[in-house]
Amino acid sequence: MPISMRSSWLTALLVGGGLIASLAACTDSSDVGLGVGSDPLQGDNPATVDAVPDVGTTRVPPITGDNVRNRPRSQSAWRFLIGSVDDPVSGTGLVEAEGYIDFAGRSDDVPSEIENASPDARAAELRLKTDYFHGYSTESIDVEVYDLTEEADMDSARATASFNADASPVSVDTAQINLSDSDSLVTIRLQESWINDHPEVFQTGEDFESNFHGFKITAPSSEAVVGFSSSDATLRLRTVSSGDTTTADYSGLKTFTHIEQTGGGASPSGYRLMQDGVGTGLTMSWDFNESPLDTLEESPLNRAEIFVPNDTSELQALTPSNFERPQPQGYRIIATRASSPDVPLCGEVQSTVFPISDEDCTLPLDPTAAPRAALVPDNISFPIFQQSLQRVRSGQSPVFTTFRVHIADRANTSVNQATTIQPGLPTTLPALVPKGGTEPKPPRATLTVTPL
Amino acid sequence: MIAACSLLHTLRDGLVRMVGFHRLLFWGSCLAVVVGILGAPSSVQAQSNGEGTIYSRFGMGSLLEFSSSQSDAMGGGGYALRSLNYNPDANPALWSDQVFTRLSGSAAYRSTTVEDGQGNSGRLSSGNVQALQFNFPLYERSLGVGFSFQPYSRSNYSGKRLDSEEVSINGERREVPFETEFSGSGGLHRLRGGLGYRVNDMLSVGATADLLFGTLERRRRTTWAVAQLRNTVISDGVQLSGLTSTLGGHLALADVFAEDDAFSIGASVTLPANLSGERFRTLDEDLARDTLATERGDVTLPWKGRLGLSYQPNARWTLVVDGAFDPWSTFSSDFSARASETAPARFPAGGTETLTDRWRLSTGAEVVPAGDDRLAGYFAQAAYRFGGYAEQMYVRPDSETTLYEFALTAGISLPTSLSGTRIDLNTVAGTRGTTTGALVRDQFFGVSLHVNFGERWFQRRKLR
Repeated sequence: MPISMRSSWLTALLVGGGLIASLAACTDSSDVGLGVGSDPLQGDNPATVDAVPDVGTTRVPPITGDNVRNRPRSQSAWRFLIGSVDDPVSGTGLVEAEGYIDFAGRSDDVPSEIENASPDARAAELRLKTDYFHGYSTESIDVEVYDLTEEADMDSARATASFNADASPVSVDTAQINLSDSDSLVTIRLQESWINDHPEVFQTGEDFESNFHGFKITAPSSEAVVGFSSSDATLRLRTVSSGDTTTADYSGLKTFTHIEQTGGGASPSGYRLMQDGVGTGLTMSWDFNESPLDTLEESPLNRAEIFVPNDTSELQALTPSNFERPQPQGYRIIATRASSPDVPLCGEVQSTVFPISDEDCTLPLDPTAAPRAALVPDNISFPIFQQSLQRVRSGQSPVFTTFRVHIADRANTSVNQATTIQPGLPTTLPALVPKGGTEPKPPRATLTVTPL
Repeated sequence: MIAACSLLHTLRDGLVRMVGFHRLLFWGSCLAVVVGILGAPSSVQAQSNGEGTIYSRFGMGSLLEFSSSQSDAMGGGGYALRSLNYNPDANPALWSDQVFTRLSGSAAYRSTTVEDGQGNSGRLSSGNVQALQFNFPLYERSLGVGFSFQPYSRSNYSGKRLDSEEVSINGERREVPFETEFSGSGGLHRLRGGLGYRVNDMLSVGATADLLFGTLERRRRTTWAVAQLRNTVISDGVQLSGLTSTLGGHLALADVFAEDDAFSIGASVTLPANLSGERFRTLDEDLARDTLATERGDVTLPWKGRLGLSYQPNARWTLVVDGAFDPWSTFSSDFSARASETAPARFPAGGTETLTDRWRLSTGAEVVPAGDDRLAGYFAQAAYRFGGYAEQMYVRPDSETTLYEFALTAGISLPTSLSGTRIDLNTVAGTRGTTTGALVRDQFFGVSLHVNFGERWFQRRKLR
């Protein structure tokens, strides 16, 4: 037989097989027959379960210090607080805040008109922009400004820190901030002798910064806490000569807020209290050996979220008509890794989980969930629980032992997820987290699983 | 393409020369094949292989037996069917009759419509290679060698269930639809090699060594309607392999009922097969597959008995009657019952009590209008085959109801200009199961294409 003939028949075989294969592609499966047999196809449907953690409280003074030069690029704003507030929410106590501010040296010399002006023709003032108010409505608040006696290391200082200041204020006796101005700019006048007493203000750059230590600002008898934008704070020297005004501004460099609480007490019935400023937060831990997590070890995970609600409705109900309390625009959750050496590093859990120490990882949150909740989204919660369930299945510890939740205010909720790992802006705000109930439920991990 | 055109020309010329009865046979066979093709659905949604029946979830899956395209069109038996154009695989004793070196390939397409007692229906279609066979004579008409590779069983089913679940998405509860698809795939394959030997003019014997191997897998795929939830695939499978052997005998008698007739009796026995392997349960699929559990074990497949009768009263007609018996009630498995949630699902599904003895009776006829007349028209030299079978299925999913399968078969075998080479088109239509209780009835249609290529190889031509 010629080879060409043989290959023709092989070609025919391939053509015919191709014809068969082209037909072999049709499926219209239905539920018909799923119940056939004594061992029918009855795999359980996916189920959503709430795993409620053991919840406790913790107090970790928040970071309230800031240095513009060392601020993370993602942290565009900061604030410092002054005043005191006795929030009607029980358990919050009386919270008092003292603000600290230091300024950056000028790159240019102070105008000669100011330097050469007579002392009584010169004035110094603090120009501040309000960006936060918590307390009873008022049109003005008396303030006092004190010179710091030594250079203060405000960078990343926590709210319990304090820095030495002169005993006598340098602000004028009648200094007060007027909160009724629509442009939110307030001015605090310093005493006329202040410039004469501080010749370093005529220095520039590092010389100024070394010799000038900054101010402490208090509002001892206020019924509200006011916050000022660190970036917009300015020390201004001014002189008026022949009707012309000459100014020299020093921009804010470092700010800090010292916060103290007195009173306190029990939180509202049925709620746990989180309170920013004083650093009251929650601790959460899940026991993987108890229901329902012990039943989920083998089940494929479809979705996971960690949800810590804030009952904003209840907070609103506890707000008198003449009391102002903004809603927190964010939260921060720090997870503590188990001590076992084989526990994955923060970045191994998920690349955006950020290490802040050998033990602690800060978890990115869904910024849009604030103020009603601190929400660890699925892209973070899923690997946490999936890896933990796998580890527990093989006799190891879960990835994280404890999750700490704190209020961490943001400039707004339109920030991206990555910025939620940063410390929050200083506030004195409370949040109420339900202990039980159905809506809103208590803190929980909501897991959707497909049972084996 | 050249071969296809050549075949079309041959067909056209043959049709013109065909006489009335032959034309009737031809169009009848073509009609059977066309009905099989038209019975197939036109929508294309997914691809699968195998029989396409929910009953393939039980036991070792649907058992696939293919001996030759000739016997396939004659009810599927043919254990005593001698032919120079085919080398039936079911009885190795028939391999002794070889003249040509033969390579055969078959591919089949089947559409199954399933219906339950409530009148609900679904359809599953599939295609697969039916067999690859290679045979050659060591000594012409005396000692032949055969090899074949073909599926032994196939698990292929698919069923979907729709539901919804309340899910937390960004802290808010939403009802999200999902689909759970149950499907089966895989199966065992058989690689066979053996010899057939003609002892004398009447008696032939044969033996094969058979390697059985393959993986049967059952999957549950949960697919969500929104991207915020991850889909899951849970697979339970068993991977098995083992050896067995088939022994066959064939008795050829002549002038039994009439002058120049031929009567044959063929029988074969396949020994019980002990298959060893591993049962597993996995999560996800492909590279992300995570093995949850594995377990080693053995299963023992039962012996198989085959007995067939073939009668050729003249050169035009061939009649066959065949019977098969497999005592699947003796099937055993030492895979343990499922002990935990992670343990693989029970194998076989439903346990061994879902298996029962299988028997099969088939009969068929072949007519070649031209008989031995090599000068007859093309379609007079074609072979027209018809048959049918009844089978008691070896699976009994509810452990109570015995299931049966009935089918009619038909086919046409087209000769080519090459002596020993034929192209066959077969079709089958039948039903299996019952709508009693939770059971379902399958109605299936199938077509298959077979190329039987035969030529003298390895043999020195004798000078005359």
